[in-house]
Amino acid sequence: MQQHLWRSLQDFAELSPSDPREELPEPLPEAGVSRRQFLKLASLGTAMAAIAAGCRRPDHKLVPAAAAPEYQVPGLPLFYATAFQHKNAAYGLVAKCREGRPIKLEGNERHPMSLGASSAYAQALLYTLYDPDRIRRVRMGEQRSAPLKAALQAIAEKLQQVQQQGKLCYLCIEEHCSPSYDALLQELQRRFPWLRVVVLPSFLADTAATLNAEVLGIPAEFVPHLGRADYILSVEADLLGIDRYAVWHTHNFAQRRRMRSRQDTMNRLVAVEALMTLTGTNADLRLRMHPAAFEGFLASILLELARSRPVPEPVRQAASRIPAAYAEKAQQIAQELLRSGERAVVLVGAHLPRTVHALALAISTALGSVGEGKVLDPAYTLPNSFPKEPELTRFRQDLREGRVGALFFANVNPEYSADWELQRLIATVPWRIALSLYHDETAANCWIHIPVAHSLESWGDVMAADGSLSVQQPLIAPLNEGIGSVQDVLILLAQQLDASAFAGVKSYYDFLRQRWQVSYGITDVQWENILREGVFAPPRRSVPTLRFSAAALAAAISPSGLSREGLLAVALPAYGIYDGSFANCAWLQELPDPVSKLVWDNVAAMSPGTAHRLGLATEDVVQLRIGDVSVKLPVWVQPGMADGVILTQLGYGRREGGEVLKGVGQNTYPLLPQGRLSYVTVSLEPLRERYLLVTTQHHARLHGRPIVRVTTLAEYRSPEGPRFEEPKFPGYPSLDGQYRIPLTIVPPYEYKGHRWGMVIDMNACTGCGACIIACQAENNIPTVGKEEVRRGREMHWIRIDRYYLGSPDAPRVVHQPMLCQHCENAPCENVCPVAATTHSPEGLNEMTYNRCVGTRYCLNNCPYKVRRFNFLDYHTDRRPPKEMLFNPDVTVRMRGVMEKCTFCVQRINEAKYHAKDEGRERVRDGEVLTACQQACPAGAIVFGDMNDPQSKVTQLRQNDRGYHVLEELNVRPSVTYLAKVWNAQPEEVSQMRTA
Amino acid sequence: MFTPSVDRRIKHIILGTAGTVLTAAVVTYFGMHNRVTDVGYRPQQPVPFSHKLHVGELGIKCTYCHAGVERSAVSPIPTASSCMGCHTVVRAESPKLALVREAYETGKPIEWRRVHKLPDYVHFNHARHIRAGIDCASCHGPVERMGVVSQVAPLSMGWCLDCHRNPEKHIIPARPISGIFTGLPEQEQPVRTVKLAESWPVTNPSYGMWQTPVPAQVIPGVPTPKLPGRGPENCSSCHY
Repeated sequence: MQQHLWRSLQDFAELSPSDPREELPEPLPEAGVSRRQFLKLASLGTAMAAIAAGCRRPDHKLVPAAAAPEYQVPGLPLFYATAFQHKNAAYGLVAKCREGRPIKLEGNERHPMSLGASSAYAQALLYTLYDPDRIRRVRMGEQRSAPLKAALQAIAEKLQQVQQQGKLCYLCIEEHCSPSYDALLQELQRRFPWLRVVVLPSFLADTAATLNAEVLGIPAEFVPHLGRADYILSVEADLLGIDRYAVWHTHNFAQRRRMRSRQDTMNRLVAVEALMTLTGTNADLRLRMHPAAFEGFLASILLELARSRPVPEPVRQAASRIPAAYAEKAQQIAQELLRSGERAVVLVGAHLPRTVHALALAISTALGSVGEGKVLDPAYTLPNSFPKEPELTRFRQDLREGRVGALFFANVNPEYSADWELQRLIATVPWRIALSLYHDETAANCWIHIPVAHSLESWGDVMAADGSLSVQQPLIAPLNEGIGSVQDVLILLAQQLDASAFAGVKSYYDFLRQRWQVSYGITDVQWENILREGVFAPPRRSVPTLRFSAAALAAAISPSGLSREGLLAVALPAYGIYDGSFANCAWLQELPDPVSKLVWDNVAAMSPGTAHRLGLATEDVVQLRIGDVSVKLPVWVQPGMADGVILTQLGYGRREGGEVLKGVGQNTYPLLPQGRLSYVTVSLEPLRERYLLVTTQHHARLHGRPIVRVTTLAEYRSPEGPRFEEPKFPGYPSLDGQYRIPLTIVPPYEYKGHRWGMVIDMNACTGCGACIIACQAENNIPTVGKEEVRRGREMHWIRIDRYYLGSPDAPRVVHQPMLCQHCENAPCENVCPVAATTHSPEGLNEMTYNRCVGTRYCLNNCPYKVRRFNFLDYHTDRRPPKEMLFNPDVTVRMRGVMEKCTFCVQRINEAKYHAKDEGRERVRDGEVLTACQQACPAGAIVFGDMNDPQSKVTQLRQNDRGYHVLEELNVRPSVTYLAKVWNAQPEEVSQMRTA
Repeated sequence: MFTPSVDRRIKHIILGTAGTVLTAAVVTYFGMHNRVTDVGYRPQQPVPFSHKLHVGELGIKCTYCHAGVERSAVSPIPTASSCMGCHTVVRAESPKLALVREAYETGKPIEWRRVHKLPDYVHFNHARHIRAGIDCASCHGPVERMGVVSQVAPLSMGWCLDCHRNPEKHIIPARPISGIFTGLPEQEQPVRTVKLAESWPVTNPSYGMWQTPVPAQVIPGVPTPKLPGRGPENCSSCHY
């Protein structure tokens, strides 16, 4: 397949053959210290150090425990099952602990929603645990370090006053999925009638739940089971991106796309969207459409499905509003949906209007994909996803009428995320108490701030979408001077208020354990077993029955009111830091956005057409105004977006709560009307300002080589097979493992033992970025900050390259993970003057940090640009307890040292030890998992021994989609890529190209 | 004899050569000096614990206190509670044990001073070496004769590789006193009568002692440890 790859709009402009100029990137301004000055200072420093230090080594201490903890041997890891709540989604985790501290988190294979994989958020949980910015002391008024007891007494006094005044106390909690937390809150409300609990989400997205309650009688959001779907029509539903169950969705979606042979079937994902979501980039067919056209499009599909059957009038009206250009597509998609029947589903983004949700539900119902065992299964619903609006309205009403005397904020931050009106109302409440990890905006405005324990430091339980339960085990004693979780503090407070409350309960653990005993009949033996397994499926689980109401559905369909005139803007959670709760995590701030590859910023993304019409370019600053609030944002021209639409990200622009988040991006919560995720009409005003944006996509250009191979399913299955572009040196294919050009400067070497290799299936990879953070956690990779990323100095050992194909208006996208290829003829090895990078007898390209003198020749000679140089000492933030984050099995690299992917050699060595201990000569297949492979929810990365004919990696290498990137260079990489296959008609691909 | 310019050049060459040789000699001397390789490092410990008494005379095996060394990369340092396992009965009142008792009672650990230290970029694994049948004394010397433990080997990369390449020249095979090897005929060969080889005085280490290994203790009936297996030599076996 002929293809033109481009990585950015500049690239696209340079693709034209009449213009062969090879533009150099703009020179970067000089740093503050000139080279000469630097050398002077450095030599002086060395001399001083030599004089001062002498030669004697410093005195090291060896400190054993006073009494040996059970099971623990220094140097050996222990694994514990625990759980992670991503808002109200639950994932089971397994934590690797060394010397009593967790150092790595992995998905629990037995957990139905993790299935051994994890997300970037789950990986980054560890960073937040050891975040030095977490608050440690209780603050009471001006008193910086108050005892907890005194604070609780003071709170109890005020609460009694509040009660005497006949006022209410509200406890604002975040979205969660813990049944025992719910039980605790109910118990509290029962005992203290003046206490009310309200779920205060940072953004409101309960349209689907409200609709499900009205139409199906289920007040919850469905968690679609994509493994059961052959055909997915996604209307801006970012299931593979910002969805809370994205790990599970990615697993299910990719499972249907890992083609092992030409006969395999695959699912088809059609994305209809105005934005460029991660799900859209993975679509087989992506239709760029203005949001105002969604209802017309879906209504037309519904009409087509209904044929002669009667259709409510609003649907007919909505269908008449479809733009003519899409009428034919709607018919085609309706036919395709019909062919897949109950194995087809329509999914809608949470930010879209109610009408669109209703039409999608109508189509899914008509197709028969709603019901038990279907894609939209009432057995898979998001816990606690009930409609939040009624409660919030009541909360606002109580605040407005001055009925609230005290407010608790348990891990919520309305001072940052709530709308202006709610913030003003909250400020009128006299006694505000924050229970949170960070001294955030809300805590700063509270009377008392109690630091609470992190989820990895406290007991809890979580319920997954399928109803299975997991226990959240603490892995380390609370680092904030022993203060417990929110639940612990609430129990202490209740006992302070009423000595008889929670009799026999000393902490939340007791409450949890008692509740499990009473509710699920868990004995001590079973409890131990659940702690070990990490999962417990309650024996009796009632699946709610569906009570379908056609009338309610018809009533929900009305014109959405989205207008084609003017500009529509929407703010969605960021891929990295989500709603801002992860804003102080440098790992996630530096995780490139999977679509735009931007780091450390949020932007106003718009299509090239819109930018052209408004006379704007990337990095121009604009002001978005809605009513009397405005947000200043830099423009980012994003290929593939619909004209007249602006996408921006939430979670940025935090003011308080840590050192990392300060000054990063702009707060876009004011763009949410009443805190609800939705499109709003904004007015745009260009400012005469520029703002520097940093993206990793320009780094390391690949000069138009055929890096990515793509094909369509029809072409792949045709007798001639896929027509991949040939490498530039014909006669040098290597799919059969035979290298026909014996051109090499290193003598041939026979790998007798293991020979490590990797296969990356680009058809399964969705570009989510979990591997990047997993690698960062495993290999002690530093973050470098925006300014250093601008200089191309990001340190990620694995990156995900995003390539566009086709026109800038509606491009196709391919994600390609790129890491050290461990070439057999590694070009980096030949140029190292000090032999710091060498080849191991098992085919690893090894990097010896202590030998490296920092010439960077290897980096220059690497065709894949995967080597990373420590230009500065990036591990500068060594405030305690940050050092506990390091993996003790991997060297922490200093300034002046080259580093790169090692294929997780520490894990390989460990697996070899186990093999030897069991008397085996070889490591078994699957015994070594690299960190990226283990985290990958799509199962796109397979690592193993290429010398073992039975291993998965050997078999996958023989797949006819396999190829090596830049194989014409004869570097003989150990990483094989499997070409991307789109389940699309060839004309759909070519249309995409010329559109 | 020569023209002045050639003369000058010869002078330069001679001076240059002499300078190079001198520099090389100085670097070699000081590079291999004990102060650099730390051979003979013998710090005073907070508790005057004597390996000579406990191991050499009482015959307590290495793994009795360093339990877990055959499984872990690091050799665990015994906890205060391990010490008190015996010392609640034996010499319970000894003033030398005051710190141990304090640690046992208060939970405040003893801070021992580290003798053997590898740089952070080297990953040495005790368990692998022990499982290859290499006795503790191969690297740590005759600890059972040391009142105060000192470092006897330079622990340099060259020293590691010497042994990885020619293990038969350096390795001390298993001795019962280490307590890490199964199948040792302990009853027949009481450890107390094991005669140690004549060795250097540990208080006065000399240079290059790693080239004069302690003769292997050949005990009849003891299975020969795995000798032919050479250690790996590629970088990423230890550096990662």
